[in-house]
Amino acid sequence: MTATRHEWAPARVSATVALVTTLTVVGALLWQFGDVRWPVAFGAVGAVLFPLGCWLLSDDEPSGVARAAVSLCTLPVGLGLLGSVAGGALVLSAAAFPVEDGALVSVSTLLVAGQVGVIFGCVLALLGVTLGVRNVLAPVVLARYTTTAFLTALVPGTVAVAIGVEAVLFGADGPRQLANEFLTAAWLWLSAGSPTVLPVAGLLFVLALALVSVLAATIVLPVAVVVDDPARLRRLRRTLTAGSAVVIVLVPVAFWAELASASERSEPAYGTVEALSSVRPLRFGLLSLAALALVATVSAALARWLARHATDGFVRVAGPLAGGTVLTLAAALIAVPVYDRLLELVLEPFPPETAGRVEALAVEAAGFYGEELFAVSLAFVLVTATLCAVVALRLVRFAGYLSAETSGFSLASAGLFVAVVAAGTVGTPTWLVLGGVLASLLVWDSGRYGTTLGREVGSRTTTRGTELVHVAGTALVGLAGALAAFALASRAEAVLATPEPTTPIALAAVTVGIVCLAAAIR
Amino acid sequence: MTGGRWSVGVVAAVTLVAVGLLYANATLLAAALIPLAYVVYGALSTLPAEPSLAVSRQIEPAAPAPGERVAVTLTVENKSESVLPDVRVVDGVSAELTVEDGSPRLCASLSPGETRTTSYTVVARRGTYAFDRPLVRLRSLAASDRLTDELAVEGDDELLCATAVTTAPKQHRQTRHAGTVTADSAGSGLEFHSTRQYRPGDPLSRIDWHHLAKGGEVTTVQYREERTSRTVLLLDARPVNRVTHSPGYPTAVDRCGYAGERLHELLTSAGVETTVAAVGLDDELATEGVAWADPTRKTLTPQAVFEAVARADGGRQPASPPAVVSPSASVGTDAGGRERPAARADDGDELERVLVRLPSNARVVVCSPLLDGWPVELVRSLAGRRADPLVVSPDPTEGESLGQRLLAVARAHRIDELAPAATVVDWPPGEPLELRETAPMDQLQR
Repeated sequence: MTATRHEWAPARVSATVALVTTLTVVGALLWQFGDVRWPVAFGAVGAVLFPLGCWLLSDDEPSGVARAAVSLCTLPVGLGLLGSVAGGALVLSAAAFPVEDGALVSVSTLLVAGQVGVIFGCVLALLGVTLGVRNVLAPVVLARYTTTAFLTALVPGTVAVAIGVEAVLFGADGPRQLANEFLTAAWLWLSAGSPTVLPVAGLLFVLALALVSVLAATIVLPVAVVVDDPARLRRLRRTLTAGSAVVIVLVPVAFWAELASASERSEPAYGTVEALSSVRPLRFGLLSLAALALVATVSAALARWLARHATDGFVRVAGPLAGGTVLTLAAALIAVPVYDRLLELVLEPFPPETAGRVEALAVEAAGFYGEELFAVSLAFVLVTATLCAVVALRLVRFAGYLSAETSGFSLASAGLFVAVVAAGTVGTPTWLVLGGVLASLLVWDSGRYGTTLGREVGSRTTTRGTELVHVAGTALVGLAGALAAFALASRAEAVLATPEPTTPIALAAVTVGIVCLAAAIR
Repeated sequence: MTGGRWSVGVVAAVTLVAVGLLYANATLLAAALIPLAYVVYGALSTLPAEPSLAVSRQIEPAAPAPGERVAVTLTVENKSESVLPDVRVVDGVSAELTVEDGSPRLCASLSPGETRTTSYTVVARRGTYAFDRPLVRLRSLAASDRLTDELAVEGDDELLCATAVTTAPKQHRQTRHAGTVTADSAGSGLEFHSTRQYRPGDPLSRIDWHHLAKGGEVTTVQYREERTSRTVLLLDARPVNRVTHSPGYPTAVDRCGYAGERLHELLTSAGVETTVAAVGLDDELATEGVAWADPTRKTLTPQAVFEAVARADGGRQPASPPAVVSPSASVGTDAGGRERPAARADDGDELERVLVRLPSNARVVVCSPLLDGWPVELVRSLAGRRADPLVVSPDPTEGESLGQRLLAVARAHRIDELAPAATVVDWPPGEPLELRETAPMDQLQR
């Protein structure tokens, strides 16, 4: 009694009820706790990207491009899931500490812990409801995600280790420094920067580069499709080939001639040639042409190759590795601003004297290892966080604590419950706590009901009436329970407001008893 | 019946009580009442003691042609005295049939005596398909109680998609007449052809007595020879044609087989000697890919060829659905993604083998979807025969995708190419063949 794989989507009304309820409660909590809005917004990005990645991997045979896209998403997912909680804790700690009185440390810690719980719960709820609505959390998808995240993490991990080893072995004059110097010198020569070196050879080299790039583009790109006369294309290719060959031959000649005539550079004729060869707009024009042609050529060749080998075994591995490479390069490029901003955030809660000492240490470490090491390591940590989250999900499902059919909505319900309980510990209004608990159970029930209904009768069957009957029943029962709880809470507050000396012992005993009862139920 | 759906409520209640006590928070303590309310709700919500449902099914039309859409209506009635808040019914559609429209699944809340109906459409394929009993699942209002069962169904429980040869065979006309087709050669017949010198043994009735009276020379009258009308029905069952425009529909080869059976029945009942041949078969009946059922040799029956074509098409194996037609169909892949050759590597030899075996006086009817150039080449090779070939072409390119439209253009171009040399009957999916074959069939039966 199971619908086909393509029809296996949760029934609409139940899924909508679960989605709207989750968003409403999360919205109410964010309205109540203004300090957690940004961390939750970060988490929401991860909560949306993770199901997107699962959806990309849910095809029968995901292509290398899809795996590369998922690989690129692993970092923002890690940033959303881990960064939201860790960053939120950092920001909240910065706001709460230092405290004026030592006795307030525990209170501030509990307040921060409660708000971090709200962040974690809200992010988990958003993640769960997105997964539930898309219903993409199949075991095979999680296995693919694990492989993809692992292969992605390999690249920044390896690069970070390599940078660290290079820094330890070579210090500041390592191969990276040499490569930087070489690239800088090469760019100055090609772009006719100051001081001008071997300008004629440089111009000829750039010209050869542009000609060869355009020739490659005419060969690789499907130019023949848009050119009416094939003979013209052949003539163009012949001309470009001949021109490239001539210029390539002239490059070493000019190089040698300029080196040999270094002593005669004071002659006016050479000055004129040097001035003409060093016109920077000309150089930039040729370099842009070469770059454009090369990018087009490589893109076309890559697209063609991917189209032919999209499902090959090699591409399955190459996709995540390519994604990891892009993430590593991006991390290295934005290393300095990221490092500075993180340092600023970390130092904010410390007293100025301590912050100054830590900052000096950090600057010294950055000077020795380079900011790139920290940025690439951070990328590795975030991708690994995603990997750990996926592995944790698989373990929880393997242990039977999460239903295979309704994992998404179960996570959403658990997230809402955690957020509401955490909010309840930091003085949230009674109506929000009771409403939140009711909402978390309503999300669990309607999500589970809608998912099983969709799986059993498919999404093409009309189910609205039956769903409304079920959801209305659940909501009414929850409402009755919430009203009873509200009445009880009013009376209980009066009782708990006057504690006896034995109250802490009684509370501890009851807690131990409840934990034992829960264990027995499991 | 299942229990424990709301055990999550117990866990939630315990957690709330624990945290409430730990923080001495009255609100959290009181909130434990909400999950407890659900626990009670789940325990109290049960199904009626004796739920009773009646299910009936109607199939219309009961005997469709292959590719025809068949409407199935399933009706469920609550015969019990209690409300059934959640009734889910899944009709037992044969796995070999594809539901094209609607849903064979029903979900409803039924009051006592209330009736609900679901209608869906399946695409008929050749053969007999039995419907299983509908599967019914009932749930209580809280979904904590569940009952699953198969129900007996009233009404239709079988879809019969009959083929032409399974109908009652007609008595073939026995005629002493040699045939209806006049030839250029001289022999026995009715129409005067020429006279020649009398030879001993010539029948007296054919001596030209007038000529003898005039000149005294004995001559024999010759008539235009009349031969038997003979038709070769060639089915194009090559792998390239084993495609369909949409999943669930019969493949082009399947429809070629169906058209062949219909034509064979019509021709044989009209007294036309019909040979049935098929190309592209890997069957043991086929010699080097060509199966040939010649009525004069009786080594192979037409029915055996039709069955071999059905087998080549995958028969009724739901595990290997046919590929959907695409521009790469000629070098395409099957449903499993395995690369499939466009046609046999020895297409040219296959053409030669067919041409060698074709009798010179036979009319040729080719059943092919025209997805590649092979049938065009065949028809071109038949140029100069006394009658233009007839091409019956089931169209598997009807689709909205860009690839299908491109393939449709290529196919239309082939039909245009064939037009001067052959009569082409284009047979779109979903339309009966009878309407399309009337005029050409008249020519064939003459």
